[in-house]
Amino acid sequence: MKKIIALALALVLALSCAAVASADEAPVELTFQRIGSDAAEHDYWSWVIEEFEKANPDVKILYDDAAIGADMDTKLNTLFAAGDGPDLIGHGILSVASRVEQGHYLPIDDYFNAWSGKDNLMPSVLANGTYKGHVYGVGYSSTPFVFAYRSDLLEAANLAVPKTWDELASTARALTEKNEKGEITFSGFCFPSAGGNLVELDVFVYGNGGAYMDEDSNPIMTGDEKVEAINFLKGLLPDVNIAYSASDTNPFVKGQAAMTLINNVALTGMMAEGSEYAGKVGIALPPNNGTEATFSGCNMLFMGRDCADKDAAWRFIEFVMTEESTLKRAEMCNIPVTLSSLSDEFVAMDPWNSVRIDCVEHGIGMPRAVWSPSFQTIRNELVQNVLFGDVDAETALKDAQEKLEFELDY
Amino acid sequence: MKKTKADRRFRVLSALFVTLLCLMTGFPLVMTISVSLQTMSEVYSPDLNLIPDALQFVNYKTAMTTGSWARYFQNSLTVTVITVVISLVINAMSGFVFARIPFRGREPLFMLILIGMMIPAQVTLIPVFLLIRSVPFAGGNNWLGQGGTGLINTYAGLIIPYIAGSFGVFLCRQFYMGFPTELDDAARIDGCGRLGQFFRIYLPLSGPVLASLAVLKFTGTWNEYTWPLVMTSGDAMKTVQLALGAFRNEGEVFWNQLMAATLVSGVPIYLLFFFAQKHFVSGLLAGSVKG
Amino acid sequence: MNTRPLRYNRRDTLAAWLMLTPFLIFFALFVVYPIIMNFYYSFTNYDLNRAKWVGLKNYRRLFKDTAFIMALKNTSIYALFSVLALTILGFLTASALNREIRGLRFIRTLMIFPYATSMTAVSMIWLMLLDPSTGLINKALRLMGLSGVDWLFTVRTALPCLIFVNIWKNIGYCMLIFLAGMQSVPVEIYEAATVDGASEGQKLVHVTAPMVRPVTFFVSITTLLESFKTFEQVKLMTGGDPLYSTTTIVHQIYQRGFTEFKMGYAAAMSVVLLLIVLIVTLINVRFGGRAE
Repeated sequence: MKKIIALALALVLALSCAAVASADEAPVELTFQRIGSDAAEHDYWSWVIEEFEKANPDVKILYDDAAIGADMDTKLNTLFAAGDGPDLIGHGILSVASRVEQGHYLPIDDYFNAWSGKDNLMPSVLANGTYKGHVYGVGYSSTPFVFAYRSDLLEAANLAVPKTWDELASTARALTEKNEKGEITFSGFCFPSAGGNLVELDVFVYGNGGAYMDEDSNPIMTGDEKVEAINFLKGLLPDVNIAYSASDTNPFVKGQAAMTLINNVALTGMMAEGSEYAGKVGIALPPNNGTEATFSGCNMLFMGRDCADKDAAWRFIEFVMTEESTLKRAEMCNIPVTLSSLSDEFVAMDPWNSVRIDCVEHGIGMPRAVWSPSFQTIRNELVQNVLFGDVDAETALKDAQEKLEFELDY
Repeated sequence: MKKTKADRRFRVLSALFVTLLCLMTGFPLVMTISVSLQTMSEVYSPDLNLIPDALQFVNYKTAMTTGSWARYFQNSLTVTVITVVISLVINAMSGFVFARIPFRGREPLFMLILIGMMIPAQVTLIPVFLLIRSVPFAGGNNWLGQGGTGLINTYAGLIIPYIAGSFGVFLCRQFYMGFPTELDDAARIDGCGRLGQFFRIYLPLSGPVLASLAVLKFTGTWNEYTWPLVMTSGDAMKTVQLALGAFRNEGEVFWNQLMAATLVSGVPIYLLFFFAQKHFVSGLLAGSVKG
Repeated sequence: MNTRPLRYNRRDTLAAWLMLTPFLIFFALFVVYPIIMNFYYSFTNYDLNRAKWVGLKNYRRLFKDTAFIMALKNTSIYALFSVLALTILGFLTASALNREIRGLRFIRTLMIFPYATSMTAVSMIWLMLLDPSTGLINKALRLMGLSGVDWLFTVRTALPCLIFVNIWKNIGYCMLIFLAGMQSVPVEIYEAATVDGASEGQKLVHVTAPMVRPVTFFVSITTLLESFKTFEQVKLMTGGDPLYSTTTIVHQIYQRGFTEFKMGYAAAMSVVLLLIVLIVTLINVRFGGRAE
């Protein structure tokens, strides 16, 4: 027993020594924390970091990623609370306002304005990373929600791709299959019943000309556009939907739905050559009720508050934003480019890419305000309240507004 | 011995009960194995597939080559083994004190220690992280614990917060309370101090309780998720549980590979349970000794 | 404990504190200090960046927060049913296995599998089995001519599903402890009962149950403490949905603290959680430990 203890103590000592020893190294080490834990993006970042380090031997990037949602935020919050935030952060729109207010992100106006590629960044992408007149994030990927449909099934039923809400409703009803007990076995149009961030509702709200934020960055949850959107879904979904969580696999990807709203990236496997659905899946701008719009997320590179070497960090951001790196990313992950000069090239890469670009251009992101994390929770509650509870749309929206205002007072 | 009708009915009922429970436990296990050997279209097919058309052992290969699993296993094993060894010694010693050495304030102190069993890890996350970051002289820190990263992203950082374990102290105390007091008298005659008494008499007799505590501590540390998530960064320090996240992404789950990796990642624990089963149980029984 | 010495031996006291030192250092740093910090934060608006004293504001908020009230309710239901089911089922399974049975070793190994598997993995396994369209459970129900159920997407069934998974995971562990307890009951007592003409069922109630009372207490208190800390399962399987019907106290603490930056508020929740667990444990000790 004593031997084991001695051995263990020696090991602990050796380990802490090793930790101390590794600290004195010549190249600048930059930690980089990215949102999303999928293999395809992981491969891309490994590639870009390797290329960057080849071109910049004096900088070493220590890469890490965390799953979308609570994992990423828990990690960042703990690191920042300890005064040891990452030097570089890859995160979404949702994080901008709250983390700028927290002081987690540094303004990068000086670097940005001196950057030769600044005019090449798409204006909507630049807007995503701007807050109160300062630039904080440079968008490297747009993640639009697209309307996905099974072209083989639409063709077989002699139906056109729906463009309006009414067309969506009738097409969805026509493609839904039920068994003898009336259970839906194949969904005409599927919509999540739960999940981390139910942006699918936003697509309908935006498509009806609605918005969640006024000019003064105050939340607005009420309004006729939202009531209409909710009532439309409430009338349609019980007839056509299969329950699922937005955090899990969409039934469309499992081959159990004819149409859905889905993050463009989640379709990659399904639309790839060799998949059993190859050639049977089409994408389009979501059907709307007068306003062409969809939800579009955007992931950006930010400089962290505790950044050790801002110049080196900016060099990395610039490297990621070169045309070469951007094209490689589009190739490896099917992600729409964020540089205007590459639009045509991106469209030429894949027949569906013009739709993807279209969705980015009509895309609206999460509200950029300090209340957006609370908004996410309250909007999810709202969807469930109306779709599963016995609450009517007006009351639920009024409740949501009150709750959001209550949350603002902390 | 006479067998009444009621007894026979009782036997049949209990056999039925056990069969049902075994089915309930076994079926998900069978499904896990089955899914780990299916293609994704089999997983998503609307039919009930228990036996895959062709066994897809390739899932295991793909899963284990996504990232560097040898490294993850090495990390998890190192952290878990060291944690178990150190905490066992410390827990046993403290349990001995609470069971055998009378001193002022012993009972209130023991009650305080039990509070440790009631605190969820999520609550202590940030203060503990701050502590680990400001360990003096580690990771480039000065003597005040400032300037560097402390023990963040090191094995030590993963181990230290798990060394104190209220449950371990509780279990050991209960175990030692079951020892006859004559043992102490014998030791006193031999001229042992309290420390000698613990190391020479009590510790060698602690096999069962240490075995069960080791199994529990091993399981707990091996399966830990949130603390390694915030404590480590990058592939080099990833533990097995964190690595399972690679098969699951927002809106996308690779069920077959995930189940394959899940089964592989549990192997050390299954082995441990299999071999330590007998001791494990008798030591745990100590926890229920009155006191 | 009954024979408390009249005065304490000074050398013993010194030895005791010395031997406790290593443990107490870790305990003070990683348990006591975080609890104190937490207590302090609960009176501030700490947002991981700044902390300003706000008095009892966080505690007042708690009573207006429907999500927290739901969490209190859900956690209590979860704990109550988990503890009851695990204790009763654990006892029954153990007594059914407490005899010469072929394959006992196999059954024990099988039943410990869920316990040995991490909650992360267990949650994923059940997420797969409970899927409304592709899950095994609904497929089986449909094969039997019944309708499928949206298990985790229905307010009525979501929490029971989580409780069931918890029972599924821990039943083997409870069974093992009960079994060990039963095997240490002297055979003579059973023989005497048989002579008196007691049936198997009567023996179970009048002999086994009283003899394993300390085991019952141990199992119920440990499962109780674990149930109150439920989090990972909620995070992975439901995220607290639908309509907060599965959110738990620790899940709310995590949500508020880490994704909404309201650490002070989350701290107030954890103080309430600690108080509840303390009270419940004390009640349990009072009543559970009394008969001994």
